[in-house]
Amino acid sequence: MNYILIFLTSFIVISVGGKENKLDIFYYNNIFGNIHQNKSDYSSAITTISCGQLLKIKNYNEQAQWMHVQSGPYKGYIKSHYASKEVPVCFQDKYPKFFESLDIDISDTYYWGRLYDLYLTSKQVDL
Amino acid sequence: MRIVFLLLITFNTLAMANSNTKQIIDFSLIKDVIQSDGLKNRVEELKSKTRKSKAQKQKKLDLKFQIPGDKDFWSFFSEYWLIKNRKVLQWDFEKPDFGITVAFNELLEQLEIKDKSFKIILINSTILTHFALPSDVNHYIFILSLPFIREVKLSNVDIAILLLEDMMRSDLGLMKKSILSQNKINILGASLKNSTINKMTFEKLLKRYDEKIYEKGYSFQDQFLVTKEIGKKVRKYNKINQNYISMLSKIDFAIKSGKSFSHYNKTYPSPEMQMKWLERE
Repeated sequence: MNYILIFLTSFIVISVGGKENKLDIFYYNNIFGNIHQNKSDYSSAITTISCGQLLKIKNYNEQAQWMHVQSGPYKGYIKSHYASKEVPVCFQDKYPKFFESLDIDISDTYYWGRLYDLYLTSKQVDL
Repeated sequence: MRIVFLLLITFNTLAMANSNTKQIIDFSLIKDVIQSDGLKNRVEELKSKTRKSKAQKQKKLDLKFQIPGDKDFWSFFSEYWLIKNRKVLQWDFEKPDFGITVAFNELLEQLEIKDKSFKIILINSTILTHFALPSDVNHYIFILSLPFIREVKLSNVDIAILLLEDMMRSDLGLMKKSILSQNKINILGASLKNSTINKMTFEKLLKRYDEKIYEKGYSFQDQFLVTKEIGKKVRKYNKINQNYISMLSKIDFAIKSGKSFSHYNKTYPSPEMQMKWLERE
């Protein structure tokens, strides 16, 4: 009887643990962007990410406006339509020589992400 | 003697087997069969696929050494200009959602303008009032001054028509033409494989943006063209036509009575003339 109980308990623990660990992989699809502390455009930026950066999404919800992501050691929020399941065609990878020639510094990258936070966009915008 | 005989027979058999194999792999003998089976066509298909794939790979590789062409350059460079001008334009500030995008989407729907996407950045500065930056086809980047909207008391409907005007300027490529011809820039799509980028070219281009947006603005000719085009578009929609004239009249009144936007006529000459042109329609 004890063995059966142990077996059942471990099965439940494994299945619950498995659900929690289920991660979806997405890619950031703008030139640059910021991962926010909260679900708001005006909340502080934890880090700046660039196009094509891999994002781990826990409990992905297709309808949600914001998604909780993990990028390297950083965890926070980005707007859902700025992440895609397919690897995006990134401007900086398509034209690397031209892109490097513009000397975009670290504060520029932050403000590029900020710009995308503050844009008012049409619904059908394909970024 | 028997052993020698057996060996001879074995060699003979092997030699015969060899000559048979040669006969089997002689494709010329089964050429007709291969042709009738369509195998030759399949080989050609595979060869053509390989050629195409190689060409695509080469194209991708060449792109890495290219300055973006007209299709990809403008949205990127306009955003680069916005980043570099962030202090002057003051777009990094907190504001509520005014419902501008909803009003503009509705106007586009009413006018049956489809497959357009846009981004609007609100600025907290009076240095410019509204502007459409050069962008990729069917994509628009609009700048809109919040102090201007407040001073002129523009409603969402007014703003939507103002954005429609900017959309028209963008569609007509007025700014692109102006800065490319001024600068004699012929670099879009150029290959950098055997050359280096002259950074001054892009610095110059940024300056041309500044000049056009902050100083020169649009000519009477440009304005006439834009007003006529908008007039044509909204003619059969009475309400929108009235709103267009009302929006122009609000701006005209504000720039004549206030000081903050007296430079408006320099960029967009002039709402008063635009109303007259529309009356003549």
